[in-house]
Amino acid sequence: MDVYKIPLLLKNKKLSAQKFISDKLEQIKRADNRYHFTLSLFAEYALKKAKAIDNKIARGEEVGRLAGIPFGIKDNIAMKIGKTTCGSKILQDYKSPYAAKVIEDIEKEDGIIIGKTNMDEFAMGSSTEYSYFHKTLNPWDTSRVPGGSSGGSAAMVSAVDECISLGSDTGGSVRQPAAFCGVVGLKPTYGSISRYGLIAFSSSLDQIGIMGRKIKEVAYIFDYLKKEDKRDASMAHPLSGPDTFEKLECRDNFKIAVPYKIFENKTEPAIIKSTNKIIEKLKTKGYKVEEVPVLYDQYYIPIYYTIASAEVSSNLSRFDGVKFGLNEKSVDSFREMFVKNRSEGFGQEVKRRIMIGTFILSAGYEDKFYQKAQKLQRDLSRRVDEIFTSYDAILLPTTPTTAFKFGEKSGKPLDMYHSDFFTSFANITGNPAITIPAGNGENNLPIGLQLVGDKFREDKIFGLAYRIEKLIKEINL
Amino acid sequence: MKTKNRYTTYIGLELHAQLLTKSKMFCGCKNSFGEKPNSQTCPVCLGLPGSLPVVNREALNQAIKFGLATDSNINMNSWFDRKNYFYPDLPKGYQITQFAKPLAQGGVIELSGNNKVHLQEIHLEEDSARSVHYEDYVKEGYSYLDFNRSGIPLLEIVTEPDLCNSSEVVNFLKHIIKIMQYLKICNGKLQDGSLRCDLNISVGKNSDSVPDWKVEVKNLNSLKAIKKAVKFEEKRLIEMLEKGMYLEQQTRKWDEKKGVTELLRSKEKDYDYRYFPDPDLPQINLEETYIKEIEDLMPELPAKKQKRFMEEYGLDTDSAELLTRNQKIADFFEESLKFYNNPDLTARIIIGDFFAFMNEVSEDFCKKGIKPVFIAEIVEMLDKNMISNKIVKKIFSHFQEKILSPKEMVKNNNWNIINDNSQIKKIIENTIINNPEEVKRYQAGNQNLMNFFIGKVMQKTQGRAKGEKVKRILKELLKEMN
Repeated sequence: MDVYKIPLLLKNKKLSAQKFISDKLEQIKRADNRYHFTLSLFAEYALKKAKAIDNKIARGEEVGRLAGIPFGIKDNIAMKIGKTTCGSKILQDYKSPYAAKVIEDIEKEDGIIIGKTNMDEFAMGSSTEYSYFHKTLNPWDTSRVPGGSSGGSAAMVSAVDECISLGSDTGGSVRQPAAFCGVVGLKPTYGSISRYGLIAFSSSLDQIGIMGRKIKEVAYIFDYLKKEDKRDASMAHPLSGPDTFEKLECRDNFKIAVPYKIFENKTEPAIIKSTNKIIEKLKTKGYKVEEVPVLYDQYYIPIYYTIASAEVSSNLSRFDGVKFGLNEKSVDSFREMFVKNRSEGFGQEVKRRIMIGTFILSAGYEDKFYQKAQKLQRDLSRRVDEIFTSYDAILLPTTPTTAFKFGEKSGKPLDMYHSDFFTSFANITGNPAITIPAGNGENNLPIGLQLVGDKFREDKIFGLAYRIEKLIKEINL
Repeated sequence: MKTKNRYTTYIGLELHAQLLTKSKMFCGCKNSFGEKPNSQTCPVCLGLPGSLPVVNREALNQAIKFGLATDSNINMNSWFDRKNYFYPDLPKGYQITQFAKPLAQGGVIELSGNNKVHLQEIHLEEDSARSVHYEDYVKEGYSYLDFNRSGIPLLEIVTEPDLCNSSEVVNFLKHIIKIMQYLKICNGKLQDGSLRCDLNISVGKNSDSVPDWKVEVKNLNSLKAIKKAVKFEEKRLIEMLEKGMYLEQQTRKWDEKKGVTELLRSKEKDYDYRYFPDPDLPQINLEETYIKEIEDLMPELPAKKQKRFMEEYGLDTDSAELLTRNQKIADFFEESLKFYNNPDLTARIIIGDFFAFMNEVSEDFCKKGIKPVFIAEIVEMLDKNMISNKIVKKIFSHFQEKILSPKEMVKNNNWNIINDNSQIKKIIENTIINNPEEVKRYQAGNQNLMNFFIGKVMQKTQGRAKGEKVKRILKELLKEMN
């Protein structure tokens, strides 16, 4: 059952929210025992919400448009219920006194938040191995990582049907784990979903994303989360772009750009094979598919890591032991308080990025790194905009590899950073991008196909993705 | 003094003015003073993870007003930067300020005597939380933080080192406070910290250019303190130069009790604040029409108003300055003229009797309930010779809110001037008869006694005779007697 059918079934009394949610909770608990994708589970809260929905329906009242849909929320999105840890020791006991805009919206529409999902500490990582709490296993192969940083959210949707999860995507943190776990993952246009309440990693790149099993499910949720919010000044005012769900089947004459050169050299053969097969199928179906030149591909990782590290070094300064920290009482000075809390509260990868970012921003280097990266960012964004004057989508793989083994890259930061190679450019330019399952490669591991779209035109990539989702059934991948 | 003349003092100021907006710089919390600690806070000004700043347009408008009032160049494109440093009162670990591209630059403020003070820049930023050190808790190793102040909009004003001595500094500050009060953007209270002033002072030999070091003096909570600190520091620095000592960059703190400055930090290396544009906030892009709209809403500024008062009403410089020292007085003066148009006399009554009555012309001006029409009636009666100057004081001292108008008071108390010359003459004759000794001395040449006679007559008439007239008749009668 697709999740968007749940509200209607409830309304028509063909489904009981309490029954559905209690079954779902059982299913989630069983799956979580195997794959460890949650950091907290709100069973009591979810059942209470379900009861409220049933009561509303019994009284003949309207229910919200997300009524009964179970959600898993990445643990860097602030909620008043439970803790908001960001997968970090420094926030292990943090209870947010306020909720993020997306949480407000889900609750207003009667969506049911089941729990918070595991993640790399402060969303830095590509395997969820950098969570302070525990590892999350890939449901396709438990010896492998689910990807990251939204690994918990991806594993949950992969292991449990009829649910949606939210993640955050700064350089690929929604799309890469979605690809590794064989689910759909959307990173919307920068500024289309409010970041209010998303604990910032890199403010100018972060965007809340949605994972589900089907394009149509993700489109349905996206339409409700794409909302103006005056509290996020980096959002577009007013928000443009049509709704996506109703229009999924409206168009069928997409023009597709493929930067072949970008992936031919750096990608696992099975991924290239799958991508090419889909391209061929699209061509035979009469879609216009054309090669476009690759833009600045050698700079994606440097631009991304320069901007993200610089911003995170500042964004994480607030965790200084005054309001957040480990309650270190045995200190003699402010300085010692700051040093002790941050040394003991942050993990290795977080410290590495803070140090890189601190260096990047230090006096004398402004124009060498951060400003230069921003200049390239603007340039790349403009060039990408040009592509969309002639095309509806750029098609490329989501990741250069399928899910890797635990420990395979955790000691090799540069290898880990390379996981973002195909995904980071959509964050750099702010364009929307979606990954959809595109068959399985070696060891039966899922492969992701990525579509990047024009800004605020998620409807186009959803439309094309929806076609491809159907076509894939006709291809032997 | 001799030594001092061989040196030039260079003083620049760094001012932080809390803007009088309804809400804070980047959130909707109330911007107010004296509330219960930590009652005016939200996720944004507490720096909670996930919260985001949004620029307060009113603060931006107020800053633009000040920029326009000081002939600054408003940058049509500017942005907010993050200033990164760790301190307990800084909830995000960075302050949102303007560094690379401030809102306005290159302003100038003209003081009397063609003295110009140039403004390097004007920019917006957020205030930090307030550390509170209660004695009992300090002993236990605790300090408290009040986040009500966190995020209050600050206008930072940085001047060039164009000031040369303490009185120039004080004049400049008075002037700048006047401008801010006219614009209603800051109440300018140094003692409450709604306006904060740091001094940058250096001293060089007359022939030299501005030295490459300066001493920064903080903790100045009144104009008096500023004046004393400038004098103290000037003297200290000249003495050091005289001794041939090497002078270096320093930050010092004024100790009001001891009347000295004390070293806070020395040889401070440029701390690296790792400034970079705040990625949470879009750049500020202004349109000419927007600036024009703000300009159109601005009141007439003190310097211009003063000039106009001189030209339009024929007032002298001092009166015009006194009457424009705040908007309320100026408005009061002009309002009063609408009821009775005699600018010179109105100015004299307001500056003389009315100010004396008010005791102190504070912002609570008119609290006592005196309305412009009250002054106008007095001026009218004076102008029409209905009362004497002496009666004016009486009117003020008999003033009780909402009871009687000056005209009614005069009528009820029979204070009107005695216009009947024979009546006055009679009183004067009596006075002369009753004071034979003084008359003798006067006629012997002691002219000062004239005032004695006038006083006596005034006493008799209860101030109802015109001084000039009394004097004239007195002179005539005393001459006749001689």
